[in-house]
Amino acid sequence: MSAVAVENTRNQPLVNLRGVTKLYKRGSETVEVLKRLDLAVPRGDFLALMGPSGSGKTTLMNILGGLDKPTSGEVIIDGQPIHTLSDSALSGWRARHVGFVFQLYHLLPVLSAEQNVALPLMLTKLSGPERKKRAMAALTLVGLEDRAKHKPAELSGGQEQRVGIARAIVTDPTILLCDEPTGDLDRKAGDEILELLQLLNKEHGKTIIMVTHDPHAAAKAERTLFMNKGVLGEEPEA
Amino acid sequence: MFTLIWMNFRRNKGRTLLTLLSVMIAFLLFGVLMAVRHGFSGQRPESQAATLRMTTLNKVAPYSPMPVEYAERIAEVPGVKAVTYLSAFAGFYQKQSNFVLMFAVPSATVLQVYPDLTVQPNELKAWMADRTGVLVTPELAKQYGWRVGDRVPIGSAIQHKDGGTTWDVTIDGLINTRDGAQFSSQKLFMHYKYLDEARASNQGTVDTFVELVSSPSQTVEVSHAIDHLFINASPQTLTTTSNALLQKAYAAAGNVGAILTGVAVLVFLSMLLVVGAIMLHTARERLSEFAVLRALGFRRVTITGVVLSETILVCLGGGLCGLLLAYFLIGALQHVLAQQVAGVIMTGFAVVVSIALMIVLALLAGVVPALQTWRLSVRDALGAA
Repeated sequence: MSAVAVENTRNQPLVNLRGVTKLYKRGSETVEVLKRLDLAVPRGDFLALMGPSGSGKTTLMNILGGLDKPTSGEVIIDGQPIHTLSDSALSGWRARHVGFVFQLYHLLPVLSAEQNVALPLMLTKLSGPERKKRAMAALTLVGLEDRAKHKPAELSGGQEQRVGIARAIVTDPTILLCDEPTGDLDRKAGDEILELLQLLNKEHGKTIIMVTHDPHAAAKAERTLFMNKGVLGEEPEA
Repeated sequence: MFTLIWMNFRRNKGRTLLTLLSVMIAFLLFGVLMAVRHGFSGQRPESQAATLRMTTLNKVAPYSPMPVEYAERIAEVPGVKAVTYLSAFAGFYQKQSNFVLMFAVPSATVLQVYPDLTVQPNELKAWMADRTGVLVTPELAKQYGWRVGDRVPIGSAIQHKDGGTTWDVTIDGLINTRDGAQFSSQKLFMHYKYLDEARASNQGTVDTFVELVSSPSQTVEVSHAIDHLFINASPQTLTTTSNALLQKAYAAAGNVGAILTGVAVLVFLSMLLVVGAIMLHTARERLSEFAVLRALGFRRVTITGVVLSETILVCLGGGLCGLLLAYFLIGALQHVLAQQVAGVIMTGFAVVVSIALMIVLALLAGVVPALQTWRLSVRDALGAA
């Protein structure tokens, strides 16, 4: 690759959505959840997506994370058009490029914190000790190295979400997708999670897209976009 | 993948243990039923000599008396290498429940027809010279505490000329088997001459002639030739292979095999429903976890494989334990059932069928949860959670 081409790649947005439309069938009715959506997210951005329930935020996140496909339009992430990938190829792509943080943490209850964090590494060719080492490094980053052997039921909500974040970053993904990461936490624990996300963004250069209802959480992001009836805008709907 | 499977087994240890126990008990029952069915089928694993043996009975009333002189004519039939005869009757030691199966046999020919039975040369010599001597199986000797040289009274329904019904005999030796011969453990060989001279009735008669032929291919030809000899005699004879005779005897008692097969099928079907319901439940309660795994990048085929592998492990784990227990139980049953039916064993075929059934059970029980997992919508499952 020439120097010019490398420079062009750097200048390209990490996430690039062009004319993305998503239609769902609800009985005999067809609902247009996303309407010819365009979105560009530069590398290292921390973007908050706000909007009322049913506005299409989660659908957009699912499409960005390769969990759903657009009805039409292009989804290009880090130069890779993912809307054309097969189900199996999308799984592989998710394992390498996406870290998910869920509102309800979705930790596996029978596994310890360390085992939960190491789960995505099972899809790599790393040895057992190496997986353990990386899981511990991720837990240390989120400040939970002393809770490694604890099961989710033995952790507080904030700690569970930290484990969820450690699991999301353990493979060093291209992009972090956070769906209401503080939605199930009290203010103090929520703030700690947001500070952690800020740290990951600023200190470690992680690109983060976060869906939230909470303006306080959105304020921690670098910028906020508003979603309403399947359309993205800079300002909330009046 | 193994981690994910192990993870689920640990999730609810009580449920895992109970499921394994259900499958184990089902295959314990299945293994025992197959063994008993085998016993009733008369298909015993035969020694080479057993495949060469034929049996001649009274055609009109099997096991009814036939003249002992028939033996000389049978011996002249081409293809017959040796012939012996026997009169069998039930005896008991000390009390009626101490069963002994008595065979009065000619000492000169019995081991020619049964080369798969062996007797120590010195014991054989002693028996040949002792009119009231007997040979017994080691199991029988052990059961009643007999030792070689003991004089023991055997009660029976066969009357002496003097009116008594007790036969005093001397244990002269033990009958052992070789070449994989199957031999009822309760048997006793006494001299035919002793029985025939002393009994009050049926002198000069026997129940059964047993012939040894040179090759299994000769059995049809020889059986026709023997029966043809006595076509105008009274009684006529019916000659067949020993194995076929056994099957006929069991068939007369009713189609036990079909009943046992029916029970085994019901056991299998009930187990299918139990395991299927449990696996469906365990898969359903983990749908959101499967959705998370899919979101993390696990492929559809991997998750479905986990669900199917869990079912296979439960069925194989529980099933093999059950089969192992059945093996030991059958060993114990062989002694209990020895008087009623021989050949109650776990055959290699039964083991193969059982393992095949475990896999079929696992696949059938796992197909619905596996399909459910395959069709899982990550978006919907996460949303529902």
